[in-house]
Amino acid sequence: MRTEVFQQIGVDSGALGLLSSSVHRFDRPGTFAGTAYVDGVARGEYDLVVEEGGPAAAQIDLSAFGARRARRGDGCCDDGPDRPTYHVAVGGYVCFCVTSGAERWATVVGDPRERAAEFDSRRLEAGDMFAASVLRPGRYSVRNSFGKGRTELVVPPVRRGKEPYRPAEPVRTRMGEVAGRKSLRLGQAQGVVFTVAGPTRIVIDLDEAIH
Amino acid sequence: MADITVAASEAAFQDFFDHVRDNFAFAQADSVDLGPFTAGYDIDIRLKDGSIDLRGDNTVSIKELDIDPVKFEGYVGIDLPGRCFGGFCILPTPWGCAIRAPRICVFDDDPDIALTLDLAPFLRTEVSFIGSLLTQYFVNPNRPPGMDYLTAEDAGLENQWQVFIDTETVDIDLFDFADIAGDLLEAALDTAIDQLLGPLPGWAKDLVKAIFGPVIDLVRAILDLPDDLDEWLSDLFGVSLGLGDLVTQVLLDYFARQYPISVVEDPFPILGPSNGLIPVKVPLRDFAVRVTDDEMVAEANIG
Repeated sequence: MRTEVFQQIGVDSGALGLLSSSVHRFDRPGTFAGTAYVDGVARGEYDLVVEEGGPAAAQIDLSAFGARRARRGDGCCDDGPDRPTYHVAVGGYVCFCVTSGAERWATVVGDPRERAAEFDSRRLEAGDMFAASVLRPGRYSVRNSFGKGRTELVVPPVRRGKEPYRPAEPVRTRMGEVAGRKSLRLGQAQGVVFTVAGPTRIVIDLDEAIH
Repeated sequence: MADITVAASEAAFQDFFDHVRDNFAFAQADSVDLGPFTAGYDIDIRLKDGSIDLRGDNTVSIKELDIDPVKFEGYVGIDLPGRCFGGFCILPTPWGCAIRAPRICVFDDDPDIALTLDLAPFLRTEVSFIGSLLTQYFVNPNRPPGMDYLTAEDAGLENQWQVFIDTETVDIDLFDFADIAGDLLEAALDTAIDQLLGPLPGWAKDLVKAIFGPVIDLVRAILDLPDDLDEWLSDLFGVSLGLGDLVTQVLLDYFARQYPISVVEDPFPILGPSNGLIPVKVPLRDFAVRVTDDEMVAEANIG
C-alpha cells in the first residue's frame, strides 16, 4: 500500500507532490532545457521540444527523475543519450506532475540562451493552471505567496454510505494577486483547478483538522 | 478349540481406547482456487472424552467422542479492486479532456485480503460410531532380514498381531453453521480491512472505506454470496473444500488402520527369561478377536 499518498497534507504549487500538478501552455517553438529539483537540488534534466505537429499535450512525471537517479546510482544529471526528451505541439499543454514518492518537486524550463525561464513551477504566471486534491478533512487556508489575502477551504469528512464514495467533478476557480473567492468547499479527494491570473505560488495549509 | 485364549475386561479395553484416543493428532492446511476467490483451511485437531461399550453382537460402540479443535480455521482470500485518486480533467475542451491529473492509486496492485473465520464454534464436536474388531498381522519393516525374534524383541522390532476398530459407515455432519455466520463474515471483513489499512491514520482509513463502499456488499458481489450465508459457508467448507469428509475420513482411518487398539507380540511370550534362560515364546497363527457384552476375547493357535 502506498501510504505516502496520505502524507500529502499540505499543497504547494512550488513544491509539487502526489495529488498536485501544474500545467503550462508552450506557445513558442524551440528546444527547451528542463531541470527537476527537490528542495532546490537538481535531480534530473530533460529536453522539451515544442514543435509544429507535436502532440497537443504532454505529461512530465518529475518523480521519474528520482527513480532514474536511484537506478543509475550517481548524481545529477549527465544522462547523455538517455536524457529524456518530451515533445509537444506549439500551443500545446504540458502537465508537470508527481506520481510516486513523498518528495516535493519543482521544475524550471527555459531556453539555455535566455536568462528568463519559459516556465518555473515555483512562480506560475498568467494562463498557467494548478490542480490539486486534498485528502484529509479539515479547514485549510489557500494563499498566493506572491500576493495578498487568503481563501478558506473546507474539506468535510465523507461518511460511509450505501454506495461507494466517488469525488465530485473538480471545482474550478481563478487565483490572482488576491485570492478570488471568500471560501471554497471540496469533498475529500475532489480536485480543484486554479487558473492563474498573475504571478502565483499557491499554498494550501491545514489550519484545523476535522474529525 | 484355540490353543491360547486371552481375555480383556471392558475396563481394560477402555484403557486401550483411552491410549489410542490420546495419541490422535491431525494437522493440515490446504486451499483451493475457486475462480474469483480462494478458500482454504488450517486445522489442528485432537480427541478427548468418549467411552467404549462392548456389545454382544461382536461389535464395539464408541460414544460421545469429542473432537478437540486446537485450531479450526477457514479463510477466504479475495482481491479487492484497487482504488485511485486523481484522474480528473484539468483542461476540458470541446473535443474532450486535453489534460488529466494523474491517477494515484492507493494500492500497487489489487489488494488481497484474507477473511479468517474461526470455524470451531460451528463444529459438531461429538462423534459416535459402531465398529467391529479387525485383526491384522504387522511385519515390522525396520527389522533386518535374518534378525532372530529375540534380538528383534530387544530392539523393539518384533512383529505383531494388531487389533483395530473397523468402523462401519458413519454419517457425521460435521458442520452446523448458524445464522450468526453472516455476522462472523462481516466481522472478519472489518478485521481484514483494518489490517490492510493498518499503517494509515483514522481519517485515511475512513476515506478508503468510504471509497470501497459498504465492504460487505462489495465482497458479497465478488463472492456472489447468496442471502443464506450459513448454507454458503457450509457448502464452501463442507463440499468445495471437503473439510467435513476429510476429518471424518481421518478419524475413521485412524481407528481402522493407523493405530491399533491392542497389539500382541509374535512370537508370543509364555514364559519370561529367568535364571539365565531365554524366554519361552511361541508363534501364533489363526489370531482372532471377538467381543462379548463384557470382555474382548483373543484366540490363537500355536504353530
